[in-house]
Formats: sequence, C-alpha cells, structure tokens
Amino acid sequence: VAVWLDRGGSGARTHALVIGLSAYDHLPKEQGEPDPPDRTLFGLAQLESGAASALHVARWLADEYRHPDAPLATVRLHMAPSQRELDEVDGMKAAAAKAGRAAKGAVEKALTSWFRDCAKDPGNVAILYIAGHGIELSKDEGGIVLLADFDGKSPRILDKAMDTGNVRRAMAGKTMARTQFYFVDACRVRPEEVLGVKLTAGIQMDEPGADPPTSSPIFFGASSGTLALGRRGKGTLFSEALVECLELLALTPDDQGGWRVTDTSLVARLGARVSDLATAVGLDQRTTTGGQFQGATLHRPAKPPSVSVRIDVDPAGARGCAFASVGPTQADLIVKDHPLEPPGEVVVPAGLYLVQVDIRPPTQPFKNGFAPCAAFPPAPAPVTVPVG
Amino acid sequence: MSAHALGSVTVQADWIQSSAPLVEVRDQGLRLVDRIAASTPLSLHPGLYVASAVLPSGARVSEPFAVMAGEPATVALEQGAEPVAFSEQELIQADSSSAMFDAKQWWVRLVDAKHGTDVTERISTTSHGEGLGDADLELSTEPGPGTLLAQVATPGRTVWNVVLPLDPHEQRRDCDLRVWFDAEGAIRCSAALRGDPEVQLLASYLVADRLPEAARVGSDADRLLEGKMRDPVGAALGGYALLRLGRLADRGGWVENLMNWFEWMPDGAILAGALATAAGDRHRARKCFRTAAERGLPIFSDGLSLVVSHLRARRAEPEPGTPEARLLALAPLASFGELTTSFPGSDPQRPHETLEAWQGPEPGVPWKEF
Repeated sequence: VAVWLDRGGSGARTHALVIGLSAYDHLPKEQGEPDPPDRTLFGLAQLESGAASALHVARWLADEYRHPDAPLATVRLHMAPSQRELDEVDGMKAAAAKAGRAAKGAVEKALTSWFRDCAKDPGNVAILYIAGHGIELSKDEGGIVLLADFDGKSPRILDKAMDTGNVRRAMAGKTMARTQFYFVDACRVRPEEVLGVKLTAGIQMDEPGADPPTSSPIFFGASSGTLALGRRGKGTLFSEALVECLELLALTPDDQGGWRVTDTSLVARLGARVSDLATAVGLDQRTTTGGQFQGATLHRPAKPPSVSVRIDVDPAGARGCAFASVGPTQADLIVKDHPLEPPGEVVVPAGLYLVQVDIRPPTQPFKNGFAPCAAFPPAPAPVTVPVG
Repeated sequence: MSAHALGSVTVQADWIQSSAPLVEVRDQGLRLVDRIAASTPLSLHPGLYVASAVLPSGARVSEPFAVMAGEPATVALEQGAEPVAFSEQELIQADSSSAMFDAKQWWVRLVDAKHGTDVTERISTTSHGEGLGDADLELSTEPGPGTLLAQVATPGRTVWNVVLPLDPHEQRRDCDLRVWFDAEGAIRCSAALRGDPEVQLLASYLVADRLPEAARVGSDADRLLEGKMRDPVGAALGGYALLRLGRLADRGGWVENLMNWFEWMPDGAILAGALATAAGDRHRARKCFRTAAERGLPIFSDGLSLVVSHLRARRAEPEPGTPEARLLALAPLASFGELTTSFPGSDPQRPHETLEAWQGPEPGVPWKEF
C-alpha cells in the first residue's frame, strides 16, 4: 500500500487517511443525464474539488500539523482528481502520481493498513478525511461516501462505497487510538434518490463493540446539489474552513495558557465558518457534527497565533502626539512607540497585554494613558486608550 | 501574599440566566484561574486578567481587566443586540434567504407525532413574536397526549415537518417556529424552546455547537425532573449535552427516571440506550432503543441520530413496518442540523412516499393560514 508520507518513529503517533474524489469512472460529466438502464447513479455527476480538498488537507497535515503527544507519522493519500484539478492545482500531478487511487480496492487496503497502524498504541491519534459524493444518515455516522469506481450496479448498488459509520465503530479495541477525528466533506446525494436502496457499503469492517475510543467526533460538511460548493479546480468550502479553523479560528487557550485546537473548539467554529464562506458566495452549506467529544487536542501550533489589534485614543484629537507601546508589562514591550496618526493596527502574538500610550511632546490637555488588551484570535476587540 | 493584599472581581452578564460556572477568568499568562457563575465575586491577586464567556449565538465575548489590591472590580460582559432564540447559523441562513421568502401565504398544522393524526385544534394562540421576522411564529398549544409535530407548507413545495420541543401535559406548551426557504427553494422550519431561560441557554449552546458550555448548563439537568420545575424536555436536552461529552454515565438513575416517568417521550429511552451501548450492554441497549422507537419520533435530532446509529450497527435490519424500520427509513430524509427532529413529506407516517409538491390545503384538513 502506497503511503504518501511516512515519518516513522516509535511511541504514540498520528496516522491520517485522506481521500478525495472528483473524477468518477461511471458518472456523467453534467447533472441531468438519465441513468443507464443497468445502473442507479442517483442523478450524480463529476465533481471538481474533492481531490483538491484532500491535497489541501494532506499538505496542511504534512507542513503544519503538530500534536504534543502524537507527532505525525503517516499520511495515506488517495485521490481521483478531475482533469481540471490536474491542470490547475499546483502540484496536483506530482501528488496524484504518488497518491493511491481512490477506488474500492485501493481504499480498502489503505483502510486496513491505516487501521493496523492506529491499533498499535492507544496513545495514537487517528484522522480520517474524505471528500466526495456522500449520503448522510445520522449525526453519529458520517455517512456513506461513493468511491471512484462506484457503478451503481445491482444487486449491490453501493458496493463501491465506504461507510464511515462502520469505520468509526470498527476503530475500537484495547490498543486502538483513543483519540480519533472524522471529517466527511460530502456533496450530499439527494435523499429522495436513495429511497429504497439498501444502504450498506461494500467496504465493511468488523465492529468489536468493546473499548470504544474516548474521543471520536464526526464533522460532516454536507453541501446540496451535485457540485461540491467551492471553486472549480480548487478546494471545497469545508476544507478551506477546516484549515482556517486549524490555523487560527478554532485556537483556544488550554488551562495552562498554551494555544491549541480541540475537538470542542473546532466544532464551535467550523460550522459557522463554513456558513460564512457559503453565504459570501451566495450559497448555503451546513455542517452537522456528532460522535463523542472530550476536549481532546487535535493540534497545538509551535507558537501563539499572530493577531492584529486596532489601537486608538480618546479623544481622537490626541492622535497626532500619541504613540502606543504594547507588551505584557510596561518593562517588556513587543511593540514600541507605534504612532497613532493615523490610527492603525499592530500585529502581536495572541495574549493579554497592556497598551500604553505616551503623549509626546507633552501636549495639553492630553496625558499618558493605558488600557488592557485581550488580543485573542480571530479578531480582537479594538482598544481605545483614554488620554483625556 | 497576605489576604488583605488581594483584590476581587465580579463579572456581570445579565444574559447568563444560569448559576452554572460559565465565566472563565484567566491570568496574564492565559492560565485558567477559575470558572465562576456570573455575579459571583472572585478574589484575585493584583494583576491583569481577562474574563470571557460564550454568548448564546456561540460567539465568545472577552473583557480584560486589572485588579488592584484591596479594591473590588466589576467587569461587564455585554451580549449586544443579538437575538437568542435561534442559532447564528439559522440567522445567517434566514438573512441570506429572506429575499427568497416570497411566499404570499403559508400554512401550519399540528399532528400527533406518533400516530399522525391531525390535532391542529390544539393550537391555542399564534403570534408573530416581537423582534422576529414575518416568518417567525410564537406557538402555544393546549394540553393533550403525545409528542407534537408541526407541518409547514406553501403551494409548490414539499411539506416540511418539525417535532416541537413541548411537554404536552405540563407547563412547556409554547415554542417558536422559524420558517424559511433553503438554497434549493424548499420550505424549511426550525423550532426553538421558550420558557425557562436556563433551558433556552442550553438549547442555544447546543445549536451553536458549544458543547462544554452546554454541558455545564446541562449538568444541572437533574433538578429539571423535580418539583415545580418538572421539565422532561429540558432535562432530555441536558442529557444529550452531557452524553456528547461522555459525562452522562454517572447519572444512570436519573436517565432511568427520565425514561420511566415520561412514557410519552422517546428521548429518555434513547439516552438510556446510549448509556447501555457505551457500557457494552447490547441487550439492554436494544431494549431501550426499541422502547424509544415504539414511543414515536424523538423530539431532538440528536435522539434520532442515536437511534439510527444503533439500528445501523445491528447486523439484522428491523422488520418492515415496525417502529424501528420507520425511524431507519427516515434517516436519509432527516435534517440533522436542526435542534429537533425535522424532515420533509406531507405524511409524516410515510414521508418517503409523500415528497411531492404540496398543492394547497386539502379539503377537510384544518391548516392554519399565515
């Protein structure tokens, strides 16, 4: 089984399985074409952003992901890119050549080897991301995702599909990773299309039923229609929002003051961010979340995120002679003597600071002033320092 | 440092109608100092701190403050003008689709969620709530048996069903409905709880996916089954919040009561089934989920999700025509993004067979027009 990235190492590690589907072997190019008489294709068509999304997520894992207790060991990447993605997405051709195919046989093997890696140490972290046509069945399942060779042929219409609910239930046992994350970035199959279809996917794993993980949340991004929301040839809105949340929006301080993304901080931001991105382009996309949460760490960046803080003075007439300094204390400054004419923004590591404003030269009726500043991501409140 | 060198802070947040510790106080190194209830004084060493809490919309509001020795400080966490009944996501959708809500007329009827019989006569009052849009409705119902489901319809669109978060026997007989069109032009409806502000806060946190905050409010859910506060719907909601964070296991007796005392409501049995599943007791889980299915549609979408997951995890499919088969068939249609169970179809007993566009009020069916 081809492993896209293998850093090896011993002890607890993170193992990721990333799958992105755009090109389907048996689906028409455009929506609306009638199904061939011997196939049930649910009215679906080719996608344009599933593989790009998977590559985006895989690259983020390789370049940015950092877990304090389980460093990244492997990323298994399986893709079925569209021609447009091959032509337009930077590095897609090379990545696709190294990645596995996103068809049933290859995915089944990857799933098995990923399962076995994850089952080597309960301290491991398991990550599954899959983008493609999907059927949502419950918050706690993650749904059924159609693979590249999905052919809709009776008597097992969903033979070439993966059931993330089954995968999640199978990922149990005494030595299995106790912390797991599931991301299903689905172009949702219209519900009325699957009525009467036996919703059992071809890839099935045993479900032990004992020793379930302590944390196994599911994030399901369901877009309507037959094209995944997003820009053609680029990633989906869900993958874009996911990476934004991992890098900044879902960062939260832990009890000791370190910044991290947890299952609960991610769920609190991801849905809203996906909605924001969709609304900005006049579309509608919702996420649903389910599974088991525990406040488990998903990512801890090497350093606090940088945030931009807008600083001004009151009264505004003092701006011309006001200079702001920012730091944890007056003796420990990160920003020194930043002029406030015009009022602007300073970039600081996220934290709690004092903003001190000096009036120079001394100008009546103004006086030096200071104010506390909570410089927290994603957008700190502006700080107005009284100098009147 | 001696005690008299301490200062103190009291965090004011009128919008937190709960005694749960929802306010975080952190020191300058962002280390968590304490989680406190609003309006509760906290002694602190002099220094720089930040107080924060999560608004019902899901947004976090933070306020930095300085503590001086011997001086009490007061910090206000302002909610702003945001509404509390619906989630930020719902409001975004409603705003983005409001221009599309051009239905000149729309209709509502009430249905017994278990039997599918019309009970529209149990609508006692409806009004457009203050501060709500034209397509928002405050709904009050008369007491009676069973879980209630509202259907909303406009000609040319598939009827939408939403189970109402009401206790038909007790004091919780009011809720809010928000009607809107989604991006595909389908009429949709969300239900929000009214009444006890703490339960409303809990619901808001759940809808906004603020699970730790929901669990903190929900940890007091025990009292919702007692005395005058008897509110099984609110208690079930608290149970789901605790379950999501794995904190329900030590409340087995309470969940048992929720299942046994309120036989009209499926959600108590669902929570009991989920606990049994987590404990590896498959036999009991199956029994509880079967009981839940026999009681009808779960009030909350979390409940439907748990039943469906249980049924799908079983090797054998339920017998056709059984209540379990009915719930399983509902899964592909259900909208799990809503707080309460909701799905399309003009006949809630056979939704998958009745997805056709609604043509208008059928003769003899008492739809209420808006």
